[in-house]
Amino acid sequence: MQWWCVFPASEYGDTLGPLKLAEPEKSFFSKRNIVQIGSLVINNSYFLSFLKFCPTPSLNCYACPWANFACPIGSLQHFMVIERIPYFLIGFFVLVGALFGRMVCGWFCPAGWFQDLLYKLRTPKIRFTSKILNKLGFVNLVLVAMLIPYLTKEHWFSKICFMGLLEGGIPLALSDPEVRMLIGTFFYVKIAITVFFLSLAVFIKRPFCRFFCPLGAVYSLFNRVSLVRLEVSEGCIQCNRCQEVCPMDIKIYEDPNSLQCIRCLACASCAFVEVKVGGRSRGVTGKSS
Amino acid sequence: MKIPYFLIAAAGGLLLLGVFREETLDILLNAVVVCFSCIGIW
Repeated sequence: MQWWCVFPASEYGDTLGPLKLAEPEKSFFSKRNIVQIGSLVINNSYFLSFLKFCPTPSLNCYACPWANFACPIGSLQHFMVIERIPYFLIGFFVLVGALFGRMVCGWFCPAGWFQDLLYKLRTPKIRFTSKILNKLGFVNLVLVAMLIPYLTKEHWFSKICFMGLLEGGIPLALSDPEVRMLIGTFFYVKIAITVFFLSLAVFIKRPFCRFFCPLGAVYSLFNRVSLVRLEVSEGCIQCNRCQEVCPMDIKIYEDPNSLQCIRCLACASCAFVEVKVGGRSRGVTGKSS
Repeated sequence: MKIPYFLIAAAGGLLLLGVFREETLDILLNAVVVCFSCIGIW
């Protein structure tokens, strides 16, 4: 089931719905934005590059000249190529998933932050939801990041990942003339893939995270059992303001621990949405009443 | 299950197993060699 709706950006005002939510997404200096920028800096600040034996929880290209950590999906593909079971990596996924679920996508992923920024551009927006396309991340995980690399001995997800071009390809090509000499047709194919995802992100909320990201698919499996969870109380009047502020376009009252929820906590500023950490309530500043 | 103790313990076990099998070294070696075809330069 899918539906489309075009609406102007100005509809993201305060007047929608009877509840006035706090405005976690509007300011560039919102708590989440600052954490996301911090994550981008920590992931790519070069000075911690001795930690490259350890994967980062988020999608961050380790081909970036300044990357400090390994890309978890890149590492997963590597283990598929060398035909070994990645116990360390599975343990890492389980640990991060058990603690945070998809909160990593909402707070720490540079790819997600970049799409959030693009969506803030003042253009008409397209609301697009699809339960079938939501499963594409799992298909990508099993096929493109695991099975096909195992069979072909090539890192196929890396070849289509736009972060590879943004953080690795472009900086390396700009900084090294010898690398520039090596540029071939595939570079332009990759530019086309990147332009496709980035332009989509201007009009649709986080298209890559929602429909393509294999890492998000991994963490989504833990959303229902992770330490951080959401709860919607019975008084919810389903005004859909939660969907308006949600970067993943979710109606949180339908399923508070939906596989798609990235725990950005934008909806938690509503009086009926509660954040639970280990079963205990945690307050969110600016909550409406 | 309010706190996923079992998952955290399982993750700890897998991480240790991975360290003993020197998988972190594999990750490091893979990470320091830039794959040009992966970043689009071919």
